[in-house]
Amino acid sequence: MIEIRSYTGFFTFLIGMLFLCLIFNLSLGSVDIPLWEAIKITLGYPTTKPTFEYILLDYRIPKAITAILAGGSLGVCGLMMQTYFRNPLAGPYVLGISSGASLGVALLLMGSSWLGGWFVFGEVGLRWAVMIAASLGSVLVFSLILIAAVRLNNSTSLLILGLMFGSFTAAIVNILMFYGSKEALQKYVFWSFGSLGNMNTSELKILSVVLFIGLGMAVVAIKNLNSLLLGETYAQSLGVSLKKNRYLIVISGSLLAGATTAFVGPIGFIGLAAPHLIRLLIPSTRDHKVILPAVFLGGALLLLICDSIAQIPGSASVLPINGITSLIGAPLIILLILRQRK
Amino acid sequence: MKKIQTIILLSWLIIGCTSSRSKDTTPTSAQYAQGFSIESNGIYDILLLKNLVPNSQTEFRYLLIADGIELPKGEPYDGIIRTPVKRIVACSTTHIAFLEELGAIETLVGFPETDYISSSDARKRIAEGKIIDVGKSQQLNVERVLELNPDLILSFGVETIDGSLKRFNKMGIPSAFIGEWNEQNPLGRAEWIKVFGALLGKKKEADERFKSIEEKYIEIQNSIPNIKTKPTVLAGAIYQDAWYLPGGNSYLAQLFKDANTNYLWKDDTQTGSLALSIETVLEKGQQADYWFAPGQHTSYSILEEEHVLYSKFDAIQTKRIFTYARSKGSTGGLLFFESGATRPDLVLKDIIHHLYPELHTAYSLTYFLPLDD
Repeated sequence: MIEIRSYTGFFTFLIGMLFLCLIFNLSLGSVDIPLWEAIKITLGYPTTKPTFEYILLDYRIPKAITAILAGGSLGVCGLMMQTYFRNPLAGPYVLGISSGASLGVALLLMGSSWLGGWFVFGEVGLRWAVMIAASLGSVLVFSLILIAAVRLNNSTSLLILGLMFGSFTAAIVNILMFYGSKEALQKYVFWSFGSLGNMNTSELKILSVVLFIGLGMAVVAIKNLNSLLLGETYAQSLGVSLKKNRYLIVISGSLLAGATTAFVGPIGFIGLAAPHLIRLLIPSTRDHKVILPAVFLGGALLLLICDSIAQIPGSASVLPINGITSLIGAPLIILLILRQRK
Repeated sequence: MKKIQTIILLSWLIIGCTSSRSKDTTPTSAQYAQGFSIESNGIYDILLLKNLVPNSQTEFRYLLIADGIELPKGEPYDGIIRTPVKRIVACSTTHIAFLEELGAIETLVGFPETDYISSSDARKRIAEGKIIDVGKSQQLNVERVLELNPDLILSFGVETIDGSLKRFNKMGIPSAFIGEWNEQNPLGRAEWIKVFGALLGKKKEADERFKSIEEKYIEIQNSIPNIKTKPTVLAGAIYQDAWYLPGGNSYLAQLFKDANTNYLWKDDTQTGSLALSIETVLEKGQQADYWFAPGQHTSYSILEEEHVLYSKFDAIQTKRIFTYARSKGSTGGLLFFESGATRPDLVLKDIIHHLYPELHTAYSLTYFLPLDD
């Protein structure tokens, strides 16, 4: 508890920044809504232009909530994977979870003609089908990883296994893309761009529930994560059950990465960048009690900023969110590392 | 309209000057289409194709010459096509509609992904095994095509002749590009029937057919009642994080203009589609009187479930949304993309009928239907 208290200032800064970015995200967009109007609408006062109200309440606010939840969850998942695998290159997708999701979606969109046209969906049906296919794909890869986790003794083997699953699914997706029709190929490519602004309230509710379960498990794992920093053998000597711990981390990570990928598509880089960002900002501690909540806030902040940029405020065009995350994230991390060197 | 005609006339004059190499030929200039011209000297035709994809500078020259006549010497061609062509492999459903307009569907022997075809005559011939599936449009099955031994492969517009078509050309099967989809003027699209006429040896029929469609189109335009303020029109739909809608110089935008409406993005200069932020479209189009072509969506309930913002549009409340996604052939192909290009008169009449239902009371719609509930 003492640790957290000494970081109050840092957390105040992070939360303050998040709040500021949220205000920015809500008030900036293709349509220029004056800040005063935006505040009035958010507080429930009537406005002069109903379109402002629709844009803010039905589009920008759900989009911002999605960005916060998805960004935070990917960050936490990335942090857990980096600690568990003791590898700074690990991220939320290292277990092959997102490859599984991609495989599910690719099979649905491009492989259905092979399956004799079983899947005939209307547009709404297709949206749900894509989410279900992505979830099923994640669960499939996740189950395989879990079975492997029972048999394997160390985290490195599991890491390699995850990478192999990733390559394997990528190969199948490649073949499916080669044979897929133009329309299906287009749909798949668009899915891989990611989308934050296409969620309705009921979808958002489901996503939040799953993510909160995943985050809850991550919080439970904090103590074990700290012991793992010292190495698996040392952690064992401290009384950590390696097997139980492994399940907890793998299940939590899969829920976080699988659910976000299923609902908003693959969002790259946030999960990798957020933990590094936080560690660079507070190099003095490695306690997950501090790092984990900070990474959640950091991930949320990053994705929120990326979304604001993707909207290209003031212009009528938009950019795909998955293209922006790396574009912004990579230089940021490079900058921080270079400054630290000095 | 007059301005456009002058521009077209001028551009044809320029082109006419630059291609004066073959002085003994008389060019049949296209009135509306920008993508082709046919020069004729009574013995053979020279078909010039250009503008096949947006911003393309590439031009293709084809020699269309009757069977048995000796080839003229000298000039190089991108392809030599013996006319009238009797066995065609086509790659776009629009080609089928053109063949049908000229009563020449029996010339079609192969097509990639035949499920896209809606025409009932063509479907009958598919069932009888007279039209063979030849793989994918980007990657024709070489062996199947060779087995069919076609006189001509019709492809859609591209910048260069790609590898697989080149291979067929080397094996003595010429290919030609049909760039009707890149024409922004609805009558320009329909005018490509003249290219089919030249290929099939049915020039006169093609000219007559086009003339009658042109007359009908103008007649429908003239039937629009005089109004003080033009109705506003919104188009397109949301996909992922953007709203996709036809650009201000696109084919649909031209139709909206010809229907005397105020398409809200008419001042844009794109010929293809625009990807705009959802917010901008909501702000500009929320009060639009009509909404055409909402993507693949076919009913109001689907729209409302798909994105919460759709329900905020006036057009959804007043039920003035019309789609081409509901008129399908028996195997799911959209009629609009098959025969819409050949019948701009019917497309325009559909639109006008929705704007002024009292005008043609006994009219039955072809392409644009109201959304289902």
